[in-house]
Amino acid sequence: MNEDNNNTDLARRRFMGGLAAAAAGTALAPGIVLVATAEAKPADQAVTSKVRWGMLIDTTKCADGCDACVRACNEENGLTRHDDPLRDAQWIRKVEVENPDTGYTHAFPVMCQHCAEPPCADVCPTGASFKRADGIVLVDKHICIGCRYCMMACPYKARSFVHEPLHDQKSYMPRGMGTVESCTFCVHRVDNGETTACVEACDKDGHQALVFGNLKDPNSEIARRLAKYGGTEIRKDLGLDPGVHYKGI
Amino acid sequence: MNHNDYSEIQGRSPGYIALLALLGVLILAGLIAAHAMETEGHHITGMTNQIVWGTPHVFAVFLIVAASGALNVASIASVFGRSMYKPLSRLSGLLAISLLVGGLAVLVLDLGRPDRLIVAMTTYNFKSIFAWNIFLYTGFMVIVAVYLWMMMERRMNTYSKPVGLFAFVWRLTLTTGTGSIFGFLVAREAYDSAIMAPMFIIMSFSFGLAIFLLLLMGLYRGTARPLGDKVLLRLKNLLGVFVAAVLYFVAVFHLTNLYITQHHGVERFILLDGGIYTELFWGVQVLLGGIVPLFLLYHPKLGRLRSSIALASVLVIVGGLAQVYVIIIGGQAYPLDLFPGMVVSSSFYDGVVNSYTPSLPEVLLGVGGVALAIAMVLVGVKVLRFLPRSLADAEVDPHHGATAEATAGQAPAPAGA
Amino acid sequence: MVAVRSLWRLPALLLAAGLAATSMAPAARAGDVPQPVIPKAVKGKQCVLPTEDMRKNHMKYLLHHRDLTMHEGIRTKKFDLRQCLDCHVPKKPKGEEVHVTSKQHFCQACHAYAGVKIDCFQCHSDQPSQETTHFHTLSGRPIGHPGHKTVDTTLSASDLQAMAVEGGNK
Repeated sequence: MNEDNNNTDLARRRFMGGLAAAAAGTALAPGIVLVATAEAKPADQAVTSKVRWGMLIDTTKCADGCDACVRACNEENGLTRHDDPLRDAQWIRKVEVENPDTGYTHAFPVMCQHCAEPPCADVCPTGASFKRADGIVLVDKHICIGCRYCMMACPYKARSFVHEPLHDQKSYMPRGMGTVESCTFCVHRVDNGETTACVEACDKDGHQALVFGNLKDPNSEIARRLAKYGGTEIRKDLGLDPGVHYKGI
Repeated sequence: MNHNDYSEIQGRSPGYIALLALLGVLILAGLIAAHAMETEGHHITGMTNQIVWGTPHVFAVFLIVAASGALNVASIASVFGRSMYKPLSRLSGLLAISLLVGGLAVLVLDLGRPDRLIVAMTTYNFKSIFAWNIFLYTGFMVIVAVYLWMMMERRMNTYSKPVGLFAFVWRLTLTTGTGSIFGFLVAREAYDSAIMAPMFIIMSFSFGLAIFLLLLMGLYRGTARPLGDKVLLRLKNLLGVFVAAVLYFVAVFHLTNLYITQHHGVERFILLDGGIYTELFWGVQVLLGGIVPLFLLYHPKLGRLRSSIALASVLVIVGGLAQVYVIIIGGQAYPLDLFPGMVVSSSFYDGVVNSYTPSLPEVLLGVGGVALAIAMVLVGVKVLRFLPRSLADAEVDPHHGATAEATAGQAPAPAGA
Repeated sequence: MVAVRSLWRLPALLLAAGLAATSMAPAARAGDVPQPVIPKAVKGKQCVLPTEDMRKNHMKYLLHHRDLTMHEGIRTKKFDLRQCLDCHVPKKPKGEEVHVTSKQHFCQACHAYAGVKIDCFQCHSDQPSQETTHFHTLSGRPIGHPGHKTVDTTLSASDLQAMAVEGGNK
């Protein structure tokens, strides 16, 4: 009898253990899936248009007075502040929008929208402003002549011009005097399989208002959320097909 | 007129030397300003991330627009066959090239990376109107140089008409391209309009001719060469037509915008409560640069006085600068409308009118470009035979002789003035 | 025309004198400019290509590679500027870094001798590479640290199972 009891006990404990493991696995799995990002593409492979990087900003989750994304971007990319808001580079900014008819106010970040039809790329005389195959709009600073025509052309005022000589640039984010720059969707991280600095910081702060991912992958978080909740774009009427989508504006 | 009817100027008078010296100083100041901008960065200027194109661009665009218009006088002779203007063609070509060089110098020296000019001239994105403009500008200089050669080399004179026609079409394309720099910008409410290109063309007619008139009177007075009234009166009447045409285009542009409710914000800004931009628009561009010159040029008595014609030309130039200032800087001062209908604010100056003050380096650079253009003309007329020896009425239009115009109280060109 | 001939005589004489002076100068003239002192690389025994090849062609390799990286996202290490710097520039604490403004910097040592202005470092850092900033999750582990291709946050399901069985045995 005792042996029987012991066996039953053991079986029961194993069963309970299995149940606990299954429950724990089920509870954790969504967390693992949510946090997982794409595997980094091999370094010797060119980017393709099979991927289109995009961002979804849930303005209802964007906290008032929080600028974690802005600070993260500044730190990640080495954007030195000279206490000159007119000339300091600002790749991402919090914009406060108030509806004068209803009084409703909310704030959310705005950065380069990484349009599919970028006017900045259209007007650049040397082709320095261009759209990569995977949708990221970049400035090739090797051929940028600093004419600032792209800054005139951008409807989102996304670009900044470097007005002073720079030192101590981050080794992964070259930037220099006399060239134009803007949000790169942290291309140095994305190519490495990581997510953008602003998304990371927003997650870390617990707001999780920003989602970054591959718009062309129907299983990616961003695609699923867009399919389920929809999203709008700033100045959609211009027909530029931005890669940055908003929820709640 | 044959080649001997043109001659170089002496260019040894103290006045000439002093003027060249002054222009030299201004050019040097412009170069120093450009160098400072290149080494220190653009933070020493008044241009910011909100107002990205400033005073240098105002001067550069004005000079480039005027350059294509300055060729008009030569075109009227070659293309439209008005032989009375033929003696003026060479000076017209010289002025066109000089103004363009001056304007381009300012534009290139203001670049963030002027050391990359070679890149700009070898790497092209042909969807950009800027890229096309690089070809149009450099091509213009070559074509006008060839045109001048056709006019100045007797054996080539037969070709001056077809080359003149080609140059005429080219300069219209060039000015269209310059206007389209702004017209193609969908982002900015003040620009995004098809009328920008033709308006720039008519502006070029007006500015170019005003500068040409002023230069003509100055050169002939300074060298004591006879300048008859016939030429002058025809030119000043033409200037009046162009000034009126510019006013018409401006009126049509703004009236159309006033019909478009979406554009009411920017129209209100320019026409009513934009502060300095409104003052410049009404006071300088329209009044001083449009209405007053029209009055001066068409008044029965004043219109025949050289001082009055010169003043009108100066006012047209000042009004033109104001017009380009309102277009370029006023257009940037008005905020971009990211969220139509909403009240917007941010740390990047969203939703507010952007402020701008011209800084010394910018003004020095712009003025340096103007000085370069004038210096090129002054040196050109001394080195080669650009100026007719005489533009007296008898020389210019021998078939008319003493007509009614001659008896209407014209002031004869003073000798040895 | 005798006057014309005599007018050109003086400049011609001066030119001849100048040429004679320079040609009679000692051969050591060329050696007056000191040979560059090229700092030894801090890592590795050999560069990615033979030294003579690199000396002659490094600009071509760099220019080609930068276009591939910029426009196609190809980030192979062979001609990556950061890899060059990692080997050729010593990592120093802040304040003691050797920048490209001094001839002790590997690139500037030769470039100053050759009289060729370097354009790269107006934008690029001239120091060995840094890692991107890392924002840690609540669990304390950085997300997507380079080298970790997949992501795990906390304990896996099998870990828990093992722990549950262990606890059950007590």
